[in-house]
Amino acid sequence: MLAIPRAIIDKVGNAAPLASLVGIGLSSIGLLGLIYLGKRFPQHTFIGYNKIILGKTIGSLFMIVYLMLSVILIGLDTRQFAEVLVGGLLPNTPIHFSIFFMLLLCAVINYSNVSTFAYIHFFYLPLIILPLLVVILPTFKDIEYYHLLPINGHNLSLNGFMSGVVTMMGGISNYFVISMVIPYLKNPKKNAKGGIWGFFIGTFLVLLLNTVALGAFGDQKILEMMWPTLVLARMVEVPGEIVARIDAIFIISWIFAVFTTLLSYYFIVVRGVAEMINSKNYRFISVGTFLIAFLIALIPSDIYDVYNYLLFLWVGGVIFYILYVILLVVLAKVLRKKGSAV
Amino acid sequence: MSPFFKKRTKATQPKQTIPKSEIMINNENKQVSSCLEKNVEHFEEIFKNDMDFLVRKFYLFETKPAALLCLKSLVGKEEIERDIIRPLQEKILGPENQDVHYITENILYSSDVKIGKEISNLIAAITTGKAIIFIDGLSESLEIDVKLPDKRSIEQPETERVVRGPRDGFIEQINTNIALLRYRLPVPEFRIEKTEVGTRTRTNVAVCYMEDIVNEDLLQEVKKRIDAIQMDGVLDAGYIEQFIQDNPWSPFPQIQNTERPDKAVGNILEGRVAILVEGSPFVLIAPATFNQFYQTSEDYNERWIISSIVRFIRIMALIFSLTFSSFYVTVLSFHPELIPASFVVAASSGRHGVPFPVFVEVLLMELAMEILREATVRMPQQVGGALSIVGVLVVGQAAVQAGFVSPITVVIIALSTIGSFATPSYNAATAFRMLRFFLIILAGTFGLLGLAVSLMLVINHMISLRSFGVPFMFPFAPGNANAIKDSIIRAPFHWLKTRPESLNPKNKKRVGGRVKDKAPYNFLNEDGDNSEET
Amino acid sequence: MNKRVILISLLFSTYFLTGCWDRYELEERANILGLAIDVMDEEAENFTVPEITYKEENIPDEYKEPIIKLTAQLAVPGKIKLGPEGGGGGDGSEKTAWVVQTVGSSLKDAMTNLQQQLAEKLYLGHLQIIVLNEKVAKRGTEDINDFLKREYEVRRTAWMVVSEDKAEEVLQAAPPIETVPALYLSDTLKNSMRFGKLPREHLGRFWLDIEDIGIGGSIPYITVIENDRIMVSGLAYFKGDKMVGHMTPFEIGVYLAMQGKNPGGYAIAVNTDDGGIYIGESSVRRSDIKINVKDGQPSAQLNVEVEVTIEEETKANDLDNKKVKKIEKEMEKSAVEKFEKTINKWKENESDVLGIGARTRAEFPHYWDEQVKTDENWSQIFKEMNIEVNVECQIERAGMEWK
Repeated sequence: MLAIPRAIIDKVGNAAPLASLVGIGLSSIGLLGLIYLGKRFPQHTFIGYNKIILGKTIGSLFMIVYLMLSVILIGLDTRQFAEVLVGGLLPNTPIHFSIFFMLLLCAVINYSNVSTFAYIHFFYLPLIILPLLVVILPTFKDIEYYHLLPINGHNLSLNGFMSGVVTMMGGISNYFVISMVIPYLKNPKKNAKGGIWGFFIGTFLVLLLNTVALGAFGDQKILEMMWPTLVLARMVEVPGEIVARIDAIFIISWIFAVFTTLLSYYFIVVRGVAEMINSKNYRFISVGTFLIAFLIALIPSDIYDVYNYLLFLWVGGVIFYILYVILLVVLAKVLRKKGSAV
Repeated sequence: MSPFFKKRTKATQPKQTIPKSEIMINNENKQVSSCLEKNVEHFEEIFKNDMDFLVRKFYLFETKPAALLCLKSLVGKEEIERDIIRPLQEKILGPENQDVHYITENILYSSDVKIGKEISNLIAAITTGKAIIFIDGLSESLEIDVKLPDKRSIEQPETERVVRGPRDGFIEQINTNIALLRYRLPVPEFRIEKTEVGTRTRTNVAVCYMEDIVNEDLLQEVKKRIDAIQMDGVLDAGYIEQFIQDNPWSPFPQIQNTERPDKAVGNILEGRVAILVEGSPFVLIAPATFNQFYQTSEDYNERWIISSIVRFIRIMALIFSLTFSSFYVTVLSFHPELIPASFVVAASSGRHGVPFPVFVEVLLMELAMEILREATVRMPQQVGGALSIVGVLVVGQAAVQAGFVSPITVVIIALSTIGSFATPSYNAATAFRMLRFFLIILAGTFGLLGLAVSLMLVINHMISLRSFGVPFMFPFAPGNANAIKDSIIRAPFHWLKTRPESLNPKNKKRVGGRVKDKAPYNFLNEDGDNSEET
Repeated sequence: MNKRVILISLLFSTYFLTGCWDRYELEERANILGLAIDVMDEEAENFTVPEITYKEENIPDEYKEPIIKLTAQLAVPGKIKLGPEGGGGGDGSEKTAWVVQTVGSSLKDAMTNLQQQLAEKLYLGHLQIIVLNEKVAKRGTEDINDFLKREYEVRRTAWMVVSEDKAEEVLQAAPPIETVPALYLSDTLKNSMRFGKLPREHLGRFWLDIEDIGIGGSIPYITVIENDRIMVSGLAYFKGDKMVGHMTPFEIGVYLAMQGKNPGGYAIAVNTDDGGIYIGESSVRRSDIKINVKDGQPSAQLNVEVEVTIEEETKANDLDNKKVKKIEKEMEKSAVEKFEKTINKWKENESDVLGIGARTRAEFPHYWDEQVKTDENWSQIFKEMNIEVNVECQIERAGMEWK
């Protein structure tokens, strides 16, 4: 949410909105693939049908890679969160605390109950969207049309454009959690619709954010900023002066957003590991995940490192996700593997 | 694997049982003897020193010796004299009529008469306010209900006052409370099931519900949990509440209590279960969601727009009471850039000479406020009024003038405390007030991060709570468009067509369509056109 | 296991108790409300730069000159009484705000020096106004901006202004009605913006404009009046990060009209041939900037529509339908003339405050990428390019008087 505009504009310049749109389009292919698989194997999670399709050994191997990727993402995302707090809010508080707290929030959730996880997501959604709109809407008057044109960028090669698209897809890749939730839904068909809606609301917001940030700052200025969205929030003036700056509101809503994103990955990891080792001891796994993620979060030596790793992971992750899902869909069709009916 | 995370093997503990009364065990399966003297002696042995134990000996039909035993503190003297002893003594009948069945059917005037044979049952009967009659030569005895406990009259509920609405409140006697419910629900579907809880107090607990509305699983779960209670004494509904709630570690009440019959009936009609406890003027309502704690029965009596606004204000007050003081700490000592510069200038001049950091200042004031609140509750009523005025005005003023706290802090604390009193449910408000300290401590240590994290811990906890399987934050998480109409707002009745889905009632329909009548003739409509406005 | 959990949380809590790293009470913060940056005049003033950030011999040569003189206005906590009691302060704001001065090779260096002198932690969260001396602004603002941008506390809604005189005088000006002078200064600017006297060029916008390609920045240009207030005496405009000149207040009106910014706050006076003088204030302005590239030559066309209210009529009393038409024509003529004059001034200084370059870059990316490429090239093109101005005045109403 904070770094995406920068990362994309760095790659594609003025074409960021277009690249975001294409990114959303490509991501939705992955989403549809997941939903298709979910319908085909209504009683299995991603981990489950992956074993059915690929066989036990290969399936497990892929899953270990997948879960490890998620753990590393948890660690790095938490680190990024902590860096923003240190940079813009609490300069002297050691980052360990921010990391600790954020992971603690995820770790204390009771993972044995899937509905709690869904409720948390549902409850925070308006708490994220409303403040975001509060930040975005007043900045409309700062948008200059000449920042947005030309929409296909300056001297942009297809290669460059695609790397922007991939960055966008990486930024919104946590929809993957749907693959873990589907078997627990009462009515998978109806709820798949909810999943698609959620995906589009979320990605639309990211698209809006990218566009507004570009419109307000232009492609040159944005590259000089660490977190363009945060700066955007700082430029907003509130009529009536209740609070002088609304970046606090923005930061709180952003903390909520980080939490729900991390929770998704955390959920994938905890439920995934539990299913792989065939255990129900979720608390133990979540404590373990906590420790590993905490250590991973402390690995990068500086903030530039954090973003280098994150970008690398995003790009790598996306290619892995999309190709892997497509592979699964094709194999499932060809091999005629099917899950038991509900 | 390290021993640290070694999985505990839960030994299946044998179910703890509380020892039963020895007297009862000794008398188990003992039958009434046909010798009057023996029976009376046996009972005198049991109630040997009790000053209110009464044995009234008389001759049945002037011939046969008989005795009436009771605890006179529990029974109605007049009723015994008039309806039992008088007919038994006055009539003169032959020995062929000296049979308990004949006496019950033809002679006694009392309505609730049983025939008992087992000594243990008779002991129980005496202790709950029944009179028993032994007749010489018969191995059966009569149990007659002549209970007449002292009770207070029905008064306005103390804790839930309303401006518009019924003024009667529950009292301690369960029978009166059942009467108050029955009075409002004169239908055959209304069920009241009685059980006894507490090995020593043997408290009557009644589970009330609408047979054709309540969800069967919910009802079974409630009964199961009540039956599983093992304790020597149940003195109030609160005991039951703590035994049957889902999460005993949560600060939030997961079962609602009310003193108002109209509220109880309203909830029974929505498909909830009301639990009445002998000796408690509070009725438990299960399951309860967060939604219920800021609603009053008055909301339904007043017009919907007004109720909706009032509800919104109550929610604001609740959120205020939870977060206001911690937000103040965060802003003043961590992020003064969040408030306008002129306010910072004013605030810093107000803090001139205050020796403590804002964090300590707020914590101290909150503590003082809680002490004042508690003192006001405990004080005798005549003194209490004086104390609260002294407390708030004099102490606050003096503290400010002494430079002990800044005036703005006093305002903030006062606002957040008053905010918590706007919540109709006392126990929910207290939970929020106590959580406030948790928020202040984290906010005072980590600023905005601490505030956000502590807030999220509270929210996440609330979301993961369940009350009898119903999510605690029901219309908000999971969202339910139908139920949200009766949450932050109170939609007009013709929108509230169904009962809450969270309770999964058998019968969902509640309100029919809106009746639109033609307007009656209005003398202002002189042309006779009284077509209805749309 | 429960005991272990308690043990671990106890261990953690000891770490907690050492906490409160970022807690600074209000009275522990030196609340800087205004900053003024001057160039030190080494002969007249004898400040020495203490060795804090640099050792004397290690100062890189390019940092030796100029030495920055930093003046900061602090709000003194506890000096200002809250509420009505003790409000008998007729003697201005000298007592409630404290003006301190220091020097340094760069802004951060000067701030470090300042911190060395104060008991409280320097705090920029409520910085309202940054005053630059004209000399400093002309030398370039890049280095000053860098520190301010990096510092997370600085608000993007603060104002940066250029002072004609010494910048420190602005902060020393003591308005008698407001307790803290810097607040009054920023209110002056904020309200000027509301009256339509200034464009919305606070710090955030200004930074955007000076860094964007093909657009020049502008910030208010102020003068101190009688040591107790300031006058917005124009708008300083920039080429890159360097100030190149300033507009007069009337030209601010022109500038705002060209951008179509509302509300209009400036008036224009015209006299008709029969001797009447009419002052009309613009209320609503619309503008349209059209850019054309023909044969590798860009040209721009500005179409401005102004709605005018007649505010004053002197030396005559003859307002009617016909007269109004006449005044409109007159106004258009004089406006076009003034607009062109202003544009020429900008062209001369190579400052494209209207953002014609940015628009060209957006609308003709091929032209830009092939022929212009850099900001520097654009300045040259801008200097030569043809800008046509059309103004249309529309007198809408004339107040409470018919004639």
